[in-house]
Amino acid sequence: MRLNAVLRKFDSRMNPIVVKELRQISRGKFLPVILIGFLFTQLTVTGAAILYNRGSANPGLLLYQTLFSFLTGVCSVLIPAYAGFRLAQERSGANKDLLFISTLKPASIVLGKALSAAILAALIYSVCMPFIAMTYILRGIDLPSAFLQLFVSYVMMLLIIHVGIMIACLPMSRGMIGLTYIFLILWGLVVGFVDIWNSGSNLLVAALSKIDLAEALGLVGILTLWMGAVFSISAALLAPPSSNRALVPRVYVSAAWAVSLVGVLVWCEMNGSYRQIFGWMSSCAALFAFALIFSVSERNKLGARVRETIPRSRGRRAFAFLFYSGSAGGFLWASIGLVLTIAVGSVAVSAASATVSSSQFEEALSILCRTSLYAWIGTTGAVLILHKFLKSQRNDFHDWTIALVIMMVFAWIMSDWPIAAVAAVAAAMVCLCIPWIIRHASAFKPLPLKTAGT
Amino acid sequence: MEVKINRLKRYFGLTRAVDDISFSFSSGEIVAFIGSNGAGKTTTMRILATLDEPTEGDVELDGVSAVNHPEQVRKLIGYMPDSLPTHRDMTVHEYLDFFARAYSIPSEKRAQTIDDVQSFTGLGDIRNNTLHSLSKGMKQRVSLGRALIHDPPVMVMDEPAAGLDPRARIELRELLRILADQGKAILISSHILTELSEICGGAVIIEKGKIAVAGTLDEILSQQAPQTVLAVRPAGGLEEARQALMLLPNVENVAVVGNELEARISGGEEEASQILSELMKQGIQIAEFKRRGGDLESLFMQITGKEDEGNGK
Repeated sequence: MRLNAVLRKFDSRMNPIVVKELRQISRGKFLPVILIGFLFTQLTVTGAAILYNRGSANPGLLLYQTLFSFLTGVCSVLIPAYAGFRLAQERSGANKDLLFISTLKPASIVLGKALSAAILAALIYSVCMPFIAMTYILRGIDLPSAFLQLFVSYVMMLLIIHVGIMIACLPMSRGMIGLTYIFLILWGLVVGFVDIWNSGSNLLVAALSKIDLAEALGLVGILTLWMGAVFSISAALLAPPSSNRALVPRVYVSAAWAVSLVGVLVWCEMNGSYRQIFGWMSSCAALFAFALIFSVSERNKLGARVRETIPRSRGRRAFAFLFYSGSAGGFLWASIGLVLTIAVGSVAVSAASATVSSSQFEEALSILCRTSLYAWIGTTGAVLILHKFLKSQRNDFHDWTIALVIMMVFAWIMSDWPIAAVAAVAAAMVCLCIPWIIRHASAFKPLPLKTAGT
Repeated sequence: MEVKINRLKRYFGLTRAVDDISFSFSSGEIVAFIGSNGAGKTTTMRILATLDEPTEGDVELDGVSAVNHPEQVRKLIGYMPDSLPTHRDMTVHEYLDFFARAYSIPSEKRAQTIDDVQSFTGLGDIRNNTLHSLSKGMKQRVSLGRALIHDPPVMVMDEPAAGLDPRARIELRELLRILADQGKAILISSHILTELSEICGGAVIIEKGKIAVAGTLDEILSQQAPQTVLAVRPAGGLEEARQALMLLPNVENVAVVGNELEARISGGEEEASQILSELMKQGIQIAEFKRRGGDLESLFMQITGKEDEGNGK
């Protein structure tokens, strides 16, 4: 009886999307085809390795690398594309409204899709585990290391699944979503090919083969932080336009920025090397630069639903302006994030100058600053074109592409310019946008209080 | 439960899909939402179902705003879109089960709720069929079942009778009557106006995003139909009867339609009975005499005709 009650409670709490997706997956052809495909390939590869590598000192290592590369390569292409395709299909055509008519929250929809894809990935991993474990008998790598690497690659897979779902959440047609997937897959293949061509082996496999438990946990932590960011962006993209879509992603990214900064500083201090701070700076700067460019596509006019929640006190309202949906607020938030990332990173590295060569640091900093300045130029250029010259009041998701094009054109023109000159152009363009920011900041007010009788 | 649509506007660029419309309906009422293609019916219904946001205005369900609190409104509305479920890899039961879970119906009540909905909509026998394999009528039933799964007090139905055979239409009409008797407020759009006039107590006619006329059926038919059309089938000569009709007072125009005469008269029932007695007095033998004016179809044609004339078409 008690077990029944527990099962019923579990059943009630289960994400409906997971139940639906798993039922559909089990009824469809994708799962049996992919499982049989994996089994067949692994049997063939393992058989061939045993037959043709008899003379080799450690045939297990090569077999392990081959199976591991096949598993991660195929899974990172197929599963995110499958999860994304299913979501894109439900967001288009005759099914468009059905997912969004119920009381399911956007976060539940994204979580359900991600969980069902994660279960699918786990099934495929479980099919491969015996073969990968068997390579140990053929003098491959030890089992704990193999399982640790599989675990880390599985977490990477989860991040890629989230990226696949995020692409499907973008307000684009199914065709455009498909093209984006194909572009990313081709890009991944090219990167993988160049990587193998240059180094003679898969760098991911090579890097993972040297990983220890502490590094693996650190990497999983970073991947989880990224996953959270991508998840919050996907949920925001599915949220109704009338809601404050920017709030959760911006709060999450701000918090993750602070947590990751502390984490990376502790890590650097423990290891006595500040090289990792470059990785932190580049990934944070890339995220804020992306947010800066994307801010052009955000709404310019807030609806009653959002305005009702704007704080009434001036101080809190000024702070809230950075976290509420809106082009100007998004521009300011991303700009502050970029400036703080570069400033804090520079201070941290300068403080530990003994462990980092100054020329290396200056070169990395120069690339980061240039990229950030181009992002400012692109964004402010798009803002000026859309709102100053065209006097546009429209909001179009694709407006960010204008910013991207301007950014790329200026990056090409200014590639030989000294950084001070690029900074001067960026500063001038930001100054031209100040009236636009002020206008939006002054319009950021709550709805007037309803008085009795009105 | 009262549903109020207050000064609703929805613009797509320069196109005014919905242009300042207001009306209301409440529990137990079935209201027909009528308009030509592109008149703004689906846009209004999508806003009501919280799937779209108005440019201005609001929809309130007992004071709960669909713009400000869409999550709360979704619990109160059962929306039946004009598109039907077509999944190849999902059975009727699984489909209803998914929506029951999505509306957070606890597991101890879920099976019973799904069974009730399946038996009400007549889906019990096909519960294990995939959605793709169903006929259009059955898909409409599944869609209705989905909209009813959380027992909402308000139903919004977009073209539920489109493409149904006569039997399925009659069955749908009966289901709607039962739902209204259960106290649900129902807004229904359809192009089959004769059927709507049989089940609806009120009607809203929308044309080019604006309300042309709204109210109870009796009110709007009496207000908006100063002209009555009489269908007269004489037992004798058609031409003789036509000549006699043309000379009678209140008769504005007479046309020959097959073996009948269609006479447009000013006025209503009283004038029609006077015309009948005049014809009898003149010795014209009448095989059939009926009043056609004053139904939803004529009213709709009259309104949309006026709009076209106004636009110089």
